[in-house]
Amino acid sequence: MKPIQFILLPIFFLLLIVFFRKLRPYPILKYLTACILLAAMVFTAFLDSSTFIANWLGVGRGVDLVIYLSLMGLTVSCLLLYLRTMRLEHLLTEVIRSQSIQYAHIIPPVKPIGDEGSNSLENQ
Amino acid sequence: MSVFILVPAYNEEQVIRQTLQSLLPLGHQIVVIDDGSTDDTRQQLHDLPIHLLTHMVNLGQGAALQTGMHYALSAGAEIVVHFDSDGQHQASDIAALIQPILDKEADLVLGSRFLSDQPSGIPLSRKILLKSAIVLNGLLTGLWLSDAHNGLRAMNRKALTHIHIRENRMAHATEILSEIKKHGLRFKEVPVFIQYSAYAKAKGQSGWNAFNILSDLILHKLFSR
Repeated sequence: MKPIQFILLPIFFLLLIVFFRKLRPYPILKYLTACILLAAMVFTAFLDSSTFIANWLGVGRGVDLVIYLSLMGLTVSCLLLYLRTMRLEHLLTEVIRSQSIQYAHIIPPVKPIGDEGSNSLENQ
Repeated sequence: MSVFILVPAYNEEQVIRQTLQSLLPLGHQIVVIDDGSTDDTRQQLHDLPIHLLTHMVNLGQGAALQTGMHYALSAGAEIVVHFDSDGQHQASDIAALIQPILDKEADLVLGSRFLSDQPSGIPLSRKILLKSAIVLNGLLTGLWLSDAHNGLRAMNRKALTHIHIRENRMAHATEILSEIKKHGLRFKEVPVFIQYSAYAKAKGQSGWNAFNILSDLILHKLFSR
């Protein structure tokens, strides 16, 4: 075994265990991550395997295949994160909007007789 | 006729009071949406007869306008006017802006600085940017107008009910055009004067903002439901 295999294989194995436990509530994501990590372990354990597959696919070098796959994975991850951010931003906007309308103020404050409380829209 | 003027404001302590004082003599309802200002914008408003809505954090002009529209709709507004807080817009233009709505000629009226006879002193770089935005808006929405990203507009209750701004930041101007097209709303452009003061120029949109608007539009068009 080469030194890089000693470094990478235990890391991938640990990541596999951690993700498998952490992603228990999300089966699709759990198995997808497991497949990616297992593929990484196979490519690391059998260094020529990526070259073999790359040749079969007509890519050329194994390292090119790994780069293409990594770029694809990175792009998908970025899009998923972007969509999640959009959803969160939408939720945040709705919460802040309802809060601002609920506590709308008319200046100078219009206070109902006998009420020293807030001058929210409900009181107008 | 109940007219609500919506004034979104973010860190406008220097000019907000002056802007509102120019609007108050019109006798309309004024709604200021403080979009999470971190300066003394709120303190400048303490004695003015206005409606004040406050966003806890800064969301962007599009979000502030939608908050104001939501509020105006529930408060029974029949006409809503969008008016910038940075002093660029003229209160004297509002009468001409809402007239086509009163005459039932349009559901939505858009201000256009390029239809005005008055020399606006618009910087060349801004002019090029706006002309490019006109083309981009035309391509994206199918509406070919004489101006783009002019924040001075008015709409009736029908348009107010149909238009829902989802673009929190500056891309809302293009989104409103898409909504006009989508809901078949009648619209008209009227000439308005834009004051390019040193303050307004400093606060105005840069070329980089134009890039942000474009990326917001493309990404939201691709991924929003």
